[in-house]
Amino acid sequence: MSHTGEHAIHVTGPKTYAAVLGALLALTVITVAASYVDFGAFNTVVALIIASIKGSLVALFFMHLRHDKFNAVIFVGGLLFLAVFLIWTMFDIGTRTTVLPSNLKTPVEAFPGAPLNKPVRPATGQPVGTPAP
Amino acid sequence: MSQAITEHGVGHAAHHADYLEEPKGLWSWLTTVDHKRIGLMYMWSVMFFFLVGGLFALLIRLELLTPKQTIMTAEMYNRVFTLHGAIMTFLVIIPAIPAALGNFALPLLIGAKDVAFPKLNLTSLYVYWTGAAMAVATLALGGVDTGWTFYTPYSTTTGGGVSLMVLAAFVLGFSSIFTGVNFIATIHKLRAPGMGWFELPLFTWGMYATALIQILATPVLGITLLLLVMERVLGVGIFDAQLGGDPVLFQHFFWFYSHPAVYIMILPAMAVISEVIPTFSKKTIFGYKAIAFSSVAIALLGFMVWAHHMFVAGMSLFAGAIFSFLTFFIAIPSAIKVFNWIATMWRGSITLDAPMLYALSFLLIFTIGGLTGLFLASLSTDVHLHDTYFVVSHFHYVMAGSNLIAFLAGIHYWWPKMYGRMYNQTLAAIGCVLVFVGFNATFLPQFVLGSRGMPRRYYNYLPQFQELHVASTVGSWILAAGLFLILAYLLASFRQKKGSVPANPWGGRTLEWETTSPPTMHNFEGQPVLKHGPYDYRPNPAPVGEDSH
Amino acid sequence: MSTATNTAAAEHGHSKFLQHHFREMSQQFEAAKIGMWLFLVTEVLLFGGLFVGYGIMHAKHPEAFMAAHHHLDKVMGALNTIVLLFSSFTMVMAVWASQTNRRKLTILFLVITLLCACTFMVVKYFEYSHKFHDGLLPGKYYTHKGDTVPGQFMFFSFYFMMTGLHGIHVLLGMMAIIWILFRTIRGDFSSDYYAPVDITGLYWHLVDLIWIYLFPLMYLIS
Repeated sequence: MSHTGEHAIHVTGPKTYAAVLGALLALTVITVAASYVDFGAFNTVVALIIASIKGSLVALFFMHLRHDKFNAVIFVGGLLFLAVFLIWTMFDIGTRTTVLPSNLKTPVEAFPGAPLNKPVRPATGQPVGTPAP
Repeated sequence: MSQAITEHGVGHAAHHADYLEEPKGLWSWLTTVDHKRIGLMYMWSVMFFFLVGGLFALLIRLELLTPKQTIMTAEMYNRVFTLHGAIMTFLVIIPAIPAALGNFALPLLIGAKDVAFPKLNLTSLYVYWTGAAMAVATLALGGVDTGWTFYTPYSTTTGGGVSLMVLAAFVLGFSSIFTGVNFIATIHKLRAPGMGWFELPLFTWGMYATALIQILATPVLGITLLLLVMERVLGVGIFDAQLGGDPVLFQHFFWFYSHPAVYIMILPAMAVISEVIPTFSKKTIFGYKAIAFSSVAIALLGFMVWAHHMFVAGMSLFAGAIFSFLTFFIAIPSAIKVFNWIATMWRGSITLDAPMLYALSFLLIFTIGGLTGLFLASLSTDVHLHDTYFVVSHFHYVMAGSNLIAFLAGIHYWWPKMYGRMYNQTLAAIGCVLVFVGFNATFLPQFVLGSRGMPRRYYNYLPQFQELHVASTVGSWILAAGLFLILAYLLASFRQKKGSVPANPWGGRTLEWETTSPPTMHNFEGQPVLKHGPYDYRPNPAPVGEDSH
Repeated sequence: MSTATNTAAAEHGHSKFLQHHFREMSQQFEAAKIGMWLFLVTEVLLFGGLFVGYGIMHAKHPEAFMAAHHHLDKVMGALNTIVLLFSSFTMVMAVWASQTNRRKLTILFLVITLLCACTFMVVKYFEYSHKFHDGLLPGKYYTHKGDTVPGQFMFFSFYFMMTGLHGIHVLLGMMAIIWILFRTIRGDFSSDYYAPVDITGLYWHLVDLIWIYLFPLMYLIS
C-alpha cells in the first residue's frame, strides 16, 4: 500500500507523453516493416515482442504503472494467470497428436440445407426436432 | 465489551434508527446501496433458488426410487438434473456465502461503513436477478438437457433453451465479478484504522481469496460461454472436430473457470467456519497465519489443476499425469485448515449452540468430501470412478454439504445481528441433526453405488442397485424435512420483538459484535478503532494498533 | 494502510464528491483505481480466452490462417493502429489537463479522443463491409469461393469475434468519454477530484493495448 498519495506527486508532463507517442508510432512502422522480412519460425515471436514493447510503454507511461507499484502487481498478476491458462492448456494440446479430418469442411458444407440460426444434428445435417433416421 | 472500541470524531449521542427501519418502503429497499440490505436481499434470493433447486433434487431422487421409469421420462430427467445443477451452481452456491453473508458481514467485520463501491454492489444484485430470470425463462423454451457443464458437441447440436441458459450463466458471471472487485477494494482501502493484515478476521481472508478467483476465473467462463453461443448461432467451428476445431478445448476453457469456481464455493465456507469455531470455543484461533495463507494458497493452486475433470476426455497422458500430480497439492492447505480448526477447539470452552453444531457437521462432511477427492485425483482410479455416483457423491459433499452447511452456520451465527432476534435453540439443534443425518443418508450410499459402477445421469439402473438408491432417496426426504424446519423456526423468530437479543449474544470478539443488533445504517457510531485482535479471548487482551506493526 | 490517514488530502476538508463511507479523497481515489485495475484484469482474461483459442487454432491450421489473412488490408490495419495510439495519447493528455486544472484543454483533448474513436469505427466499418461483400463472414455465413487451403473460415471466425468484441469495447469507451466530457464541461473536475477522468483513461488505454496485440496477430502473419 505504498502508493498512497503518489498520484499527487507524479504528474508526468506532455513532453514525456509526446515522446512515448513518437516511440509507439515508430514501433508500429517497424512491426509493419518486419512483417515483410522472413524470420522463419520466429515471425510471430518478433511481432509479439514488438507488440509487448508497445504494450509496456502504454502501461508504464499512459497508464502510470511506473509510479503505481500496487496496481502494477494486480495487472501483472492477471497476465501471469493468463499465461497459466495458455501454458497449462498446452500441456495437453501440445503433447496430443491432433488429426485433422481429411475432408475438412466449412460450416456451409457441413450443414447443407440447414436453416441458418437453427441448431442441427451433425450426423444428419438436419435441424434438431426432425426424427433421427 | 464496549470498551473494546472508542468512538472518535463527532459523538452522536442520539439514537439512530436501525438499517431495517430507516428509510422505509419497498422502493427504499430496491434502490438501497446499503451493504446489509443488499446482503439480505441476496440471502433471500439465494434461499428461494435453493428451494427451487432443492425441489428438482427431490424429483431426481424420487425418479431414482425404482430401477425403471418412476415419475418422468428420460428426456424430462435430463432437463431436471440440468436445471438442478445449473440453478444450484450459478444461482445458489456461488453467490450464497460471498454475496449474501459476505455483503452483510464483511464491512462490519473490518469496521467499515460500507463496501468500496455501493452502487456497483446494487448493480451486482440486479445483474443476478436478470441472470436468474433468464435461467428460469429457459423452461419456456423447453428446458436444457446438456447438464450444467454444457459440454460440446452435444450442447452445440441439441435444441431447447441452451443459448439462453448459457447467456444467463454469462450474465451471472458479471454479478460475481462485481462482488469480487468490490471486496478486494474494500479490504485494501476500508479497514478500520489500526487493523493490519494480520488483525483481519479470517472471514475477510477467505473472502479475499474468493474474490481473487472471481476476478481471475470468471471472465474466462464469460468468453467460453460466448464462444459456445457463437458456435450455436454462427457455427464458428472452434469446438467442432469436423470443421477443424477441438471439442476438448471447450472442456479446458470451461474448467479453467469451473474448477477454481469450486473454490469460490468452498473458500467462503471455510471462512465462515474460521469465525464460528473460535467464538464457540472461546479460544484464540490456532495458527492464524496458516489459515490465512492456506486460503490464498488454495485460491492460487486451484488454477493449476482444472484438467483433472478431463482424465477420460481424450486428453494427452502427459497432461493427465501433470494435472493428477498437481491436484494432490490442494490437499495440503485444505488439511492445514482442518487441523487448525481442531487444534482451536482443543481445551477450549466449547458451547454447542446452533452455529457451532453446523461448524462441527462441516468438519466431518468436508473431511469426507476432501478425502474422497484424493481417489478422484489419482489418474488410474479416476478412470474407473469417472462419471459414476462416486463423483456425484464427492462433489455433493464438497459443494453442497460443505458450502450449504457453512451457509447455514453463517446464517445462524449472524441472524441475531441481521434482525436483532433469536431463533429457538432446541429446534435449531433438531434441524441441524436432521440436515446432517439426511445429508449423509443421501450421499454416503452413493459412494458405494459409484464404486460398484452406477453411472451418473441415468434415469434407470440395474436392479441390484435399488436398495442403495432407496436409502439415498429416503435420506433426501430427511434432509428436506430438516431444511423446512430451519426455514420455519427462522421465520418464527420474527414474532419476537426486535432488539430482544443482546448486541453480542455469542461473546464474539470481532468488530461486528461491538455495534447494536441490528446495526444502524452506517454500521457504527463514529469510526471504530481496533483495540485487540479478532480472536483474543484472554481477560486482558493485548492491545493492537498502528504502533504494533 | 495506516499512512492513508495522514495524507495531505485530508486537509482539503470535505469535497462534495467525497462519499460518506470514505474518510478522505485520497482513500476514495485509490479505491477507485484498485477497482478499475481489477476490472481491467477481468478484461484481459476475457480477451485472453480468445487469444488462447486463436493461438491454438493458428497452430493447428497454419497454412489456412496464412492464406486467409491476405484478405485483410494491412494499410487499413496500420491506419487504425495509428489512430488508436494517437487517441491514447490525447486521452492521457486529457487526464493531465484535468489533473492540472486546465479545463478547456481537457475538453479539447477529450473531443479529439472521441473523434479518433469515431475514425477507428469508420475504418472498421469499411473493412467489415468489404469482407461482407466478399462472403468472408464467420461460421455458417462464410460463402467465399476459391479457397486453396481448407479451414480458412476459422480465421474469419476469430477475426470477427476478436475485432467485434474489441469494437464493442471501443463503443463502451466512447460512451464513458462522452460522460466525462459532459462532467468536465459542467466543471466537476479539478486537481482534487479527477478520478473519473483517470479511470476512464485507464479503460481507454486497455482498449488500445488489446488492439496493439490484435494488429500483428490478424494483419501481419507472415
